[in-house]
Amino acid sequence: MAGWPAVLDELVEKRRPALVGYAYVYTGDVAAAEDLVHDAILRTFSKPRGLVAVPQAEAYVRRAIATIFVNGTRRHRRFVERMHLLAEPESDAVPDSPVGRDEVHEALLGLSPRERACAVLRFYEDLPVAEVAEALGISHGAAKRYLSDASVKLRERLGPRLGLGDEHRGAPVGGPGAGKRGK
Amino acid sequence: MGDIRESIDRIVERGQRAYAAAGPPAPDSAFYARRARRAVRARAAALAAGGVAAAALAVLAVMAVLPRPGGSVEPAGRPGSPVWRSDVGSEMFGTPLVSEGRLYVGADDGRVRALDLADGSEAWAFDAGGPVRGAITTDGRLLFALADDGVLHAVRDGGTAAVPEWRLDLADTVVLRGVYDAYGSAPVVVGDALVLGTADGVVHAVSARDGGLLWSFRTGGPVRTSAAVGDGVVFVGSDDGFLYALDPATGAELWRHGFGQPVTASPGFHDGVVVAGSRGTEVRGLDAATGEVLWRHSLAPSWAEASPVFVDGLAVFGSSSAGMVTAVDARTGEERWQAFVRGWPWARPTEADGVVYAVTVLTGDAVSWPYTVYALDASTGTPLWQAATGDALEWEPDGRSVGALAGPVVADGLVVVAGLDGFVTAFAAGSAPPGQSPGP
Repeated sequence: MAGWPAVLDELVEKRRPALVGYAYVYTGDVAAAEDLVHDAILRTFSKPRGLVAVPQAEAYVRRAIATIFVNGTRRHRRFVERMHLLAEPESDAVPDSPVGRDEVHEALLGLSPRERACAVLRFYEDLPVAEVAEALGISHGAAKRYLSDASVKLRERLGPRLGLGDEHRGAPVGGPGAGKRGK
Repeated sequence: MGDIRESIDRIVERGQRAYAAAGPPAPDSAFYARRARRAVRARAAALAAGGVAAAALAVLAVMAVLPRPGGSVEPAGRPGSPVWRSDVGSEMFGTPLVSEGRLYVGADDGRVRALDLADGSEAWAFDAGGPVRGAITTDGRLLFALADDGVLHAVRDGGTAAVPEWRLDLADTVVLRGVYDAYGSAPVVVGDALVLGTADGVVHAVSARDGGLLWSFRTGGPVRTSAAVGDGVVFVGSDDGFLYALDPATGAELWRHGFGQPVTASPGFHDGVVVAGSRGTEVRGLDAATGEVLWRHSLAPSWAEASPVFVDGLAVFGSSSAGMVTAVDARTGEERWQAFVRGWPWARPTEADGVVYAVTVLTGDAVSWPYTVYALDASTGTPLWQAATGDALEWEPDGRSVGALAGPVVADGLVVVAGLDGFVTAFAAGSAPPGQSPGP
């Protein structure tokens, strides 16, 4: 078993792109995603947690990404250490178009931060509602409500074509698109 | 059609590809290891000392050694206390307007308020129907406010109420804001016209008298800046990365200058020079007649989110994460002084009687530093005093935030700040902290 420095080393060197990709789902912006990953790594390794394996550490970092995103407590890098990431040099050329996003990402980014985090943790990470609530430090009822709201909004935006499951269906909202469906 | 998990997988992959293609250099694992050991040591020391206070001190100790780009860590001035505070109850981003003993300010609750400058009491509030994030302006007869929904309102101060004169719906597009898109365009009076920008990327000129549309000019991105006017030309920045010089009579483009990054701070004009920054790293001085770059001042690695005020031939502007206010010769760009302040001094500073007033917004760790209003000696940048405003109500690029994004105004011996805390706060203007005599 490796000690935490070796785990940290492998996590940072090999898993950071995947973590940035994961954070990008939340932020819709690569620089902000990298910021989020930075803070999540700092948070994960700022306490002795007995981290001896990369998958275990990565799970911590992913939870930290969700909670930091929701709670908005990103710290060090924003103010001082990530200054170089905030700014990009000018060019006199015509600016490039922003990185394209697909419809699903736009729909996710249209959710509130808590709805988005609940949706990603439940529908992508496949966490039970109780663990979604625990990861985000909110009540079970609140997590269900956010998931329900997120589901309704995603269906309204994307139509009844994504497998969101039925367990978090709230009271019907809107027209026939809000009706129950199975996958 | 795949399910949500597959869709998100594709988003993750896209993020990975974008990071791999354009990701900036990131700290290595040794950096994180050092930080982790430091945090663990600080935590252990705090626990050994036994208490929340010790823990807070440990955090502050770590903060205090965070590198800053030269200069002092904190200003030497003393805290000032307010003369009055008026509870608006909603964040304010637009610089207030002072006219004839009244202060007018827009807020995120969609209301434009008139306050008595003497004591901050509210005379009236006008519902603009959407957040008003630009400054309130006047032509001496009417007050003008642009709401986020693209409606321009013209009202008259009727003493105890605002009297609507006309309104003009300028855009179908409501302003959509990312985390840093704090500001909104404000109408600027140019002769008998108002010039302003909207979220659909259009610069409009409107008759101040009756709201008739005079001309419009389309840019390639939302226009969140307010125009500068000089030498008979209108200068306005767009999120498309260009600063445009327009003919105020026709809206014809005279020249454009590409910053390559969104021009999110309002430009300034002084003596034939347009001074503007962007979400790049340079503040630039441009020849107002041609758009030629006369000088560049780098704030790297910070954004140059900086609107200038001009003081005795100096252009004085803030920054973003660099946390400093800078004065350069407006003609040559030669640096005269820099003052370090805690936080991001995004707003346009103001100056009166040899004192520059600047405000900052703070987030994250920085919230342990309470002061966000700074008085600086205009000729040297020396900090004279500093003062606090409260926490933000909702605006949170990074979580909890404090301070002000609206520029300060000085009138009748007061420096007035419209804060993110939902209060308008007035301090005694001058070189000494309010209620105190000047230091030795």
